[in-house]
Amino acid sequence: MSTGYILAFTTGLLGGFGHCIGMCGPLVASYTLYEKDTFSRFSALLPHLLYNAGRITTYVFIGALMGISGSFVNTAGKLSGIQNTAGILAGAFMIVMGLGITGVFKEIRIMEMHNSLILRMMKNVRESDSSWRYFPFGLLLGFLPCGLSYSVFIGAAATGSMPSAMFFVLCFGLGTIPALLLFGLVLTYLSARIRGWIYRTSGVVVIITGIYFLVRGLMSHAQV
Amino acid sequence: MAGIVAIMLTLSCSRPHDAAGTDCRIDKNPCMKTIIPGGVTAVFDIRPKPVKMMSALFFNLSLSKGDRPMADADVLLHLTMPGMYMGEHKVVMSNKGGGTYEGSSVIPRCPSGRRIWKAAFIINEANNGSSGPITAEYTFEVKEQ
Repeated sequence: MSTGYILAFTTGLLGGFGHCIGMCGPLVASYTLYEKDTFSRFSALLPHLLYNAGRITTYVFIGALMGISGSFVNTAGKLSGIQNTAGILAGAFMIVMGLGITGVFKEIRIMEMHNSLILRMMKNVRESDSSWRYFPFGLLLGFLPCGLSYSVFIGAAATGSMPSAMFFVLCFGLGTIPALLLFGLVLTYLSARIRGWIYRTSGVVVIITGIYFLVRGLMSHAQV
Repeated sequence: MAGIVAIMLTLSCSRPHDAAGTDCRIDKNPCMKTIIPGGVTAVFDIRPKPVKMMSALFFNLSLSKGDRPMADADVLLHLTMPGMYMGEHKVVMSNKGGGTYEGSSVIPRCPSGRRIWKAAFIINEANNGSSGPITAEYTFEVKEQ
């Protein structure tokens, strides 16, 4: 196997602990804390596996585009609108999850008061019991602008062929899994044991992070 | 729990005051350094200006030793972001002759808002006997796209 692929995997592995937990950790925290308690190991693992599978699928798709075009700048330019939209939706999602964690929804029944499309979508996300919703969630959030993945996409574009670029990015994505999976499982374990104001405070922090993502996405959108 | 999320926030959102901590105003002029071991003078430049993230950039390094250009070196550029792991970002610098080395790449945008990058050139001089490679490092700020 080419050293380039090993390097991509190592970048994912190191970046997972050194970068992804900081940047994507709040997102993982938002859905992990929101999930209902589970006593099955597989049920606890499934949302994280599906989220990561979705995220890596998007990476491979972007890698394919980079490989076809052979140009990071051109491809990234075309994807910037989608990436900013992903940032805005991620922020909105985190705010909804954060409100769910704090228990605000139970108090004000906001979903019954409004009927807009976005609120209906969020209601579906909030009330769905299926873990499979985390696959499309991962697909969407794979588009989030990320400096580390940009570096890898630059390398993918330089491979000059679609299969090589896809495999290069796949190696990177697989490398990022251990850190985010471990982080998610630790949070799952903790969230099942922490209750009361500490738990609700986490919800507030998730809301603040969601507002940060939302504002950042809107500002990037305005710049395009 | 809140502490963990707060730490993550700090990691993801902290934004060191840009321009502080830089030693190269790449937007204004090329940056010159004299590397003590070997007495090599290395002049670093990036084109086009202003130097922006997410756009095609040409990195240029001119090497000289005393009055004569250092035309027989292997040069590799490592781009890193101080305080944030951004992957292995290496650029092979091709020898353009006359002590000039050039490579092209892109500096990615970090959504955290950080804009300071470090360019570390690893210079291997041919026929240099037992002494190892020398390094020229420059820390500079890039503009938003």
